[in-house]
Amino acid sequence: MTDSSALARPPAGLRWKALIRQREVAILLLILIVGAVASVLSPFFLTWANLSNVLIACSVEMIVAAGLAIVLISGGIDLSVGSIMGVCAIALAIVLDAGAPLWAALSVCLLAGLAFGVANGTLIAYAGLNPLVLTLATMTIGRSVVFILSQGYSFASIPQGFKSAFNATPLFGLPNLVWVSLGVTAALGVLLQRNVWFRRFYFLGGSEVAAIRAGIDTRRLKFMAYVIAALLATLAAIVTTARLGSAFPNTGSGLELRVITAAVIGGCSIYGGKGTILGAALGVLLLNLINNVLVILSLSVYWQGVAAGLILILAILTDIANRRGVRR
Amino acid sequence: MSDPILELSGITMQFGPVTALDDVQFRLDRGETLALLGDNGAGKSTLIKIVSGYYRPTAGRIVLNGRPVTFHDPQDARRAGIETIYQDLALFDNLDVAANIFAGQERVAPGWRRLLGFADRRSMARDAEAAVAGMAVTIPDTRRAVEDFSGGQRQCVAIARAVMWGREILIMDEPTAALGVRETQRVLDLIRSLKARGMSVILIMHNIEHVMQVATRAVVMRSGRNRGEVAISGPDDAEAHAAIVRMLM
Repeated sequence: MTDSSALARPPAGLRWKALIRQREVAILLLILIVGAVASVLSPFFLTWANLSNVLIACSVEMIVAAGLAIVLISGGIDLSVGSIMGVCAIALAIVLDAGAPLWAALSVCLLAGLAFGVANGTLIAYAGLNPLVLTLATMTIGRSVVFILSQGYSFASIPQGFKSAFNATPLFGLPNLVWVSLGVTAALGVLLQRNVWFRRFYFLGGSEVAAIRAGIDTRRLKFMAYVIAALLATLAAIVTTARLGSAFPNTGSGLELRVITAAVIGGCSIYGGKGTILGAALGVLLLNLINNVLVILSLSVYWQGVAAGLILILAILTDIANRRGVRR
Repeated sequence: MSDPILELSGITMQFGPVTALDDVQFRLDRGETLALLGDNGAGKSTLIKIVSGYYRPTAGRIVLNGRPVTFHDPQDARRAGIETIYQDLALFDNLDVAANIFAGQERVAPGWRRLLGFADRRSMARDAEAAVAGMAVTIPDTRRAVEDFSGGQRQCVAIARAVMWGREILIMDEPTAALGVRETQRVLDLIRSLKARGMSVILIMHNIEHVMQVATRAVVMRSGRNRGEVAISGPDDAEAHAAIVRMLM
């Protein structure tokens, strides 16, 4: 993936070829192809009800993907986002279930997410632990905490006002949670390309040694990547709890791997320095679209993993092909 | 007639019982291209690390622009105008020329974009383009990620970064190592063009032919001491060549 970073724009004279090499464009094309095929095969695909369902299904994963994209670009990885979501969702629902006011429940939820983010960030950035191993540990701990807190029960006494705040459909029949997701993704996407501070994640992921030599406080930056990812997982927990009207012990379970898959398909490199939030979001959209197509074509949804895995392999293969084509 | 920009005298460096440098004298004149030669373990790297702020000498004086200085860390030396380009070049492979040159000190755009902390990408791209335009190595498209660049072009970006930030002294560690024949010639052209810009350059080089092509003076070290120095009048200065070889043997 040589041209995926918007900081490194395509070369002059070769623009259309470079444009195809842009992962975001390639995924967008794939989305359009899948959509076109699906709309030919099924009259139900191109209906507003179906498409808005796809967008709703994407919303939560897109929020998490934005955080994970930042972590991946910074050269790290975070397996704990799904568990953080679980802890935050259960914490929110338990506090509400106990009759506490919404602001108190949201505060507890936020603190829980922040605690995980700070723990991840501190241990990775300042104690120098390997992010894969450390977040594997916090993922395990987080899921266990969910069961300790919930004792395996779901909590469904969510106030109506909170639910309708996210589920109301003021614009184009899309619920607010879709707009929240799109807004957060777009805002972070723009900041990551333009904002001087956010752009530093690309420097950190490109070369930590060079970033240190350039006077960048790489530890604080690394720390912040995990805090941001955890806070976005917290937001995802709030959104999913409002959407479903309840929190389950398995909320967010397995989500980290789905989102990592989507982000890598969308052009984020697990070696850091490359990718965009837009790409990660499009990756989420593509995977959810495939899921949707399998459902409306009455094919088994169990094939979704096969499709996602094959696209992932295709994505990394094109990386290698592009690399060979561009080098010298 | 010498006009020293950097002068080291009586430099001794001890690592425990090992004496890496023993009463070394070193002078770099303004605008000259000096080659530092010597076998492995002769003390070149230690000397360079003292100049670039990685080590503090056990004894000795460093005088920069006529003033005695002490470097506590590499950032100190860089602030004082000394840039060291190591073989790894410390580039961001994933980013374009402008991002590499402005890394860590990106300009914020004026107007409403300042409120959002937006980078002034256009002005940085323009200045990056100008910074590499005057170099002996041409870079066809500065908006490409530097991982696609050749060895010579990468050197060019690293040098442009040093020049952009107003460094007066450039130390290059084996700039021609691991390059093909054509790339080597380009990098040597690049080093020659630095002289025209008035930069003072220290080259660590093993290849005597390359030294003869670009350097105006060669300093040879041996076992942590000064072995001697030779003025080089040009690439065909057979006498200087012979003297260098003699001192290295």
